Amino acid sequence: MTEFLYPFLEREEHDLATVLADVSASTVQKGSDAIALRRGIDLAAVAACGRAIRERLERGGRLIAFGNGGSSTDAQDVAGDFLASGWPALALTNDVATITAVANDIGEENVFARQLIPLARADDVALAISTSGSSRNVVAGLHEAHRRLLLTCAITGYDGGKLRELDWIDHLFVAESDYVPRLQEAHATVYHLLLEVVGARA
Amino acid sequence: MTASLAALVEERERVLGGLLDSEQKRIAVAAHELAHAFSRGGTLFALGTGAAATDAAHVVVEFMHPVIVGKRALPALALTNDVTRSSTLARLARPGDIALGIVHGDEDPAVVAFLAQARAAGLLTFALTGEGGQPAADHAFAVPSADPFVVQEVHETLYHVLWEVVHVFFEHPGLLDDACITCGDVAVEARVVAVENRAAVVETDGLRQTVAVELIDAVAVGDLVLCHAGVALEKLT
Repeated sequence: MTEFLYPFLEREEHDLATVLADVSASTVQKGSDAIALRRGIDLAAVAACGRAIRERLERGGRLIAFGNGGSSTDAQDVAGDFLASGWPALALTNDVATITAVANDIGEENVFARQLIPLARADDVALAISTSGSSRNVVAGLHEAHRRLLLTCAITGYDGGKLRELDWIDHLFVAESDYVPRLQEAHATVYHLLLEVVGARA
Repeated sequence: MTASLAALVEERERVLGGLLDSEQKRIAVAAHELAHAFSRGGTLFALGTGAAATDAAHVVVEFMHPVIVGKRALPALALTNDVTRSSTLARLARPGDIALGIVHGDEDPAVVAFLAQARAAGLLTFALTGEGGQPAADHAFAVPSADPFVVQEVHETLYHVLWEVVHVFFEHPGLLDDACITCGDVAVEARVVAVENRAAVVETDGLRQTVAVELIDAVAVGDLVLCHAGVALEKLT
């Protein structure tokens, strides 16, 4: 399965020293790939999104972040970063009891939308993170957020997936890659830069 | 605004590129030892506090539920939600397991204690820290930046790369056998890093192996010895 990543390993040289040397070289290449994706971030769009988020926060809104798997840890990370800067923020993956109750009783596609129904307020900001851009529960959550007049922001990979088809989405960032580890590393940069624009609460 | 953001992107390029360039060899060796531990049934325990708690959860989901279809799931647990903090490791960890501590700044007492506990219990230990971090771990990588966001993003690349490379080694299972680094066609010069009764642990090029030392006189840590087929043949210094 890694042939496309490590074509050199298909050679017959399977001794440890050779593979270690090849792995070292590929590690440097991975860094270059991550750097190239970061160079592709639309910084003017980051600045615009950051200003829009700050405007919501200043009128009493909160940042509500959500995603699955590794992106759930990003959601928790960005929520923690906003909290540390003095802003109200939460991640919808913080409460395992709520997540498992909704997933078990209604279905996993509702785990974020269901939480937004009681929690969300019109001044809030929804920040959805999905590497594919098509996770059903993330798309459903963003729909619910839009219905409730939240500012809708999303960070995705690949070609933007289903989130790119949403014509009402306010701010969309696509790390255009089909390789999850690298595009996810660029996602962390996007939300860290958003916080740089938002700045700390006065 | 965009100019200052561009400077922040450049800072990430400089720190990540520089670190991978200088540490590529150590990363490869660390990933090999990690794969070796997993191949012998080891479980990974990951801990960070604050923002680094999310990284501990992230690295665990990479191993438990590989994003690339077809990769095998490897056992990993994040201690993020261990309400007792330290007892998960004490009760669950066995010698041969793996501990990974993550710190975005230069020191976190919880992670220092976790790594010390893990080492005492015979685990293979990894540490990812910010600049100036010098935790006691078998494989430690310090990211030279004072910006915790930059450190965190470089850590993410590091643990992604470790995960990716572990699976490279899993596709070459012969490389996970207890590799004999002194079994090539020619004898190998290696430095003694530990002496245990009638054997010595020698290291060459970042790789370690236990060799018999009956053939040479008193051997001490730091000696350079010529080895072949698991036996030290001659003391060079």
